[in-house]
Amino acid sequence: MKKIKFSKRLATITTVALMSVLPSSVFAAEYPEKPITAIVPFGAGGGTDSYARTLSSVAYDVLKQPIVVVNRPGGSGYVGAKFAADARNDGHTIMIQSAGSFILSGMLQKRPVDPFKDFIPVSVIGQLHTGIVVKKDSPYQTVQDLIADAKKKKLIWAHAGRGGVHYMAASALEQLHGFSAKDVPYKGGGNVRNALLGGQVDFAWIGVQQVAGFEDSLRVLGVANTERDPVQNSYKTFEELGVDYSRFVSPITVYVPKGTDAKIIEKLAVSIKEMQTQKAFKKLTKGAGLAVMYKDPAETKLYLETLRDEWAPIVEKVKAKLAKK
Amino acid sequence: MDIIYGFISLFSNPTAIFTVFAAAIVGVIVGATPGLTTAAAIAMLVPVTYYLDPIIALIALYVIGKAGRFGGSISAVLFNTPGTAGAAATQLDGYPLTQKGQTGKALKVSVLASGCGDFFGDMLLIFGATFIASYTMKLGPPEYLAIYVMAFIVIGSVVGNSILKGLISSLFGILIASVGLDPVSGSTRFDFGDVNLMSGFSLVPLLVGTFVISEVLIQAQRSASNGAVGYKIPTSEDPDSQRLSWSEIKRCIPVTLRSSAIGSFIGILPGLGSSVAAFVSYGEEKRRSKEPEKWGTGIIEGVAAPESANNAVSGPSMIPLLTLGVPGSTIAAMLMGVMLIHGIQVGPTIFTTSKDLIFTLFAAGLVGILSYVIIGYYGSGFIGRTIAKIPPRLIYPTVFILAFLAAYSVRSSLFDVLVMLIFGGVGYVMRRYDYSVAAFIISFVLAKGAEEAFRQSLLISDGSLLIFVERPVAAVFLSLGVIGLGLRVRQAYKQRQFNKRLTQS
Repeated sequence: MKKIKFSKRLATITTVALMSVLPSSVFAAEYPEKPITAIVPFGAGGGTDSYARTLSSVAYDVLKQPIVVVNRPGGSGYVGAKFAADARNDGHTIMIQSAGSFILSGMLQKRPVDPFKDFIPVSVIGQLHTGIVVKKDSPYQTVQDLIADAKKKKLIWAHAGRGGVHYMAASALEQLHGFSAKDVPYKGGGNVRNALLGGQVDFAWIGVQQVAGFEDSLRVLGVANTERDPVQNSYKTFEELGVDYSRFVSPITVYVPKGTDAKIIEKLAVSIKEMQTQKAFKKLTKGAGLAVMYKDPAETKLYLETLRDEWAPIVEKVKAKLAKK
Repeated sequence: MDIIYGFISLFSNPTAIFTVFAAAIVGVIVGATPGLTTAAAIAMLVPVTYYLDPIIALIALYVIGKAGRFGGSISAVLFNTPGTAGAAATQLDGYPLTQKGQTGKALKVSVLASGCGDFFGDMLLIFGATFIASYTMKLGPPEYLAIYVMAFIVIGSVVGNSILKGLISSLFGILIASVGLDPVSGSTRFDFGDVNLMSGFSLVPLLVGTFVISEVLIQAQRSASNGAVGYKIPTSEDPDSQRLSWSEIKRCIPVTLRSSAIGSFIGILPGLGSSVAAFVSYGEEKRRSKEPEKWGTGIIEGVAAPESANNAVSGPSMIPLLTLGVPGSTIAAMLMGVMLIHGIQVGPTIFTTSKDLIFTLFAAGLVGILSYVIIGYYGSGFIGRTIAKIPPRLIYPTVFILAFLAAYSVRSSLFDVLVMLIFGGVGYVMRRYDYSVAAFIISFVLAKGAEEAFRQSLLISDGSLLIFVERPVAAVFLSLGVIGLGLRVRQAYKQRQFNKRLTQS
């Protein structure tokens, strides 16, 4: 009698012990068990939002659970980021960020969350490229023309906010070539483009996808990356043009809060890869002119850290310059 | 005549026609609900539209936006709570009309003025888009600042009787607007280390708080002092109080035309928005009126002016969006997102590359106007009668709950709900002591854009203020503003002399 009782108790203990050890792997196998909330820290209809929406449109077919996009704009993407960082790290809340500006803005100023310490990157799903753009009737045919003239007189240029990818790319170029120009920040890429079209400024740094539809009135002088934009592939890179530059891009990255189980991250990454092969996804991204990429969790982490390390010395100099202003 | 092809293609597509009618109904309902902003409804629909044919998706969102602009006036007239930001000016005279038992009349004026304004704006969009865009493109920060200053001065005449109190309300609005990111350096201001304040306050929770919550509090107080029965929306047995006579329509025609022009002009400029348009035209018409003292006591011109301007914004605000890719409002930004996802490229070439789609959309807009005018005109009496039967003890609590939904839905943020509640209290105190909440909200809206334009201009000019007089367009708008200010001062002076003589004799 006693023996049976003991073995019964043993069984209970074992079960309890097993349950407390197993859950993560068991749950990971079942993940996702409910709809996934994707925090987009920008407004509906913007670039990052479009990536999130295309992904969410095919999510159900792959995950058997929907991805619900929630826009939480504000604070250069940090209001949404804080919300995502505070969410439960069970993989049911993810964040889709424009990682370039996210990382740069965190390096430049004290922000409520740290892009590297408070999050784990899951996958890069696309990338935005920045470049120098002038009006079609501008005297500058090449980047070299522009730099030569900028050394002689103070040019005025537009961008979408100090500290963002475009501004930093421009600052890097100024540092490398020893000139300085007057910057005027505008709200959003559309307004920057408009300032250029209206002849308010001499040149602008904007995402090259913004030039689509305006090819007759604008000219892209060069893109600040080693490789061309996979969609807007007619624009030459600074590397091809033989101009000294620093690489500045904004990878659209899926993040989860820190402490999320590795198995969940793996499942999410594999699912994202599968979503990108779906017909509907391809059709949507092609129509919208969104450049699609895929990097697995390890590649993504390495890529983002490499970018951060490349940018660190430039950010330090910009910090010093802005402190003087 | 591309628009004729637009009509042909619209009427040969039964789904599209059905969408227009459905969207008009949804828009009116959403607009009329004080808690549901049109922008929030459209944001909820955006993901659905990815599965729809692009033209159906665009028609749905565009027509909801139009009908919602009118719908906003329904709750402004009935409950003194604007359903949308643009309707905040409508309640100044709309609600007093309801208190006189003339709800039906107020709503009829509102829907006819909305329809006229909307039609006026759409004509500009259809026949003048490319031409207008080639001019607005040239407006830079100095011109925008001049326009902001002019708008501010014109609106000044609606801030209430005390100039001092009006100024205090405005300064408070400007102070609240300065919370958040500095438009130039990008560093944070007055955020007190709170991440939620990093990007400042957003309009909807402030608007819902100061206009809707404060009204609920005032109504609650009124019914508490009147005993548990509470007050009832008055009904009048006189059939003329619900009808519009020809002479009344005639009085409103010039007001509606001028306000439509003002609304259209403001719509062309991205960023000012329908609340500014409505207040500017209300202020301008009050200034022009021979009996300015009657404004605010429930006259139909006071409904016609803001409503026509509010809806006239709709069409022209598509001009910067379609031709320049600059969205002027939240709704425009979402429409752009839908176009992006469907591979419709905005830009100067849109009128050739997506001609069929664009003109079908414009045709749908015109049919949409007709639909909501019919719904509004024939439904207004019914709405008025039905609402009058519902006891206020059910209405205001419902409005109160919907207000939470409104504040939350913009950014899915509980913080915004808190902001709404706090500003509900602030709005209540302001209204008790006769400080204009409209001046507060308008200053909040204008200050953000004006500061940005001012500082951008100074960056361009290296800190020289001369840039505002050297650029001819900026100089013209600034001097118009100064003349307007001069006229107001003279009017106030004359009034004072007149009062003096009265007291002396």
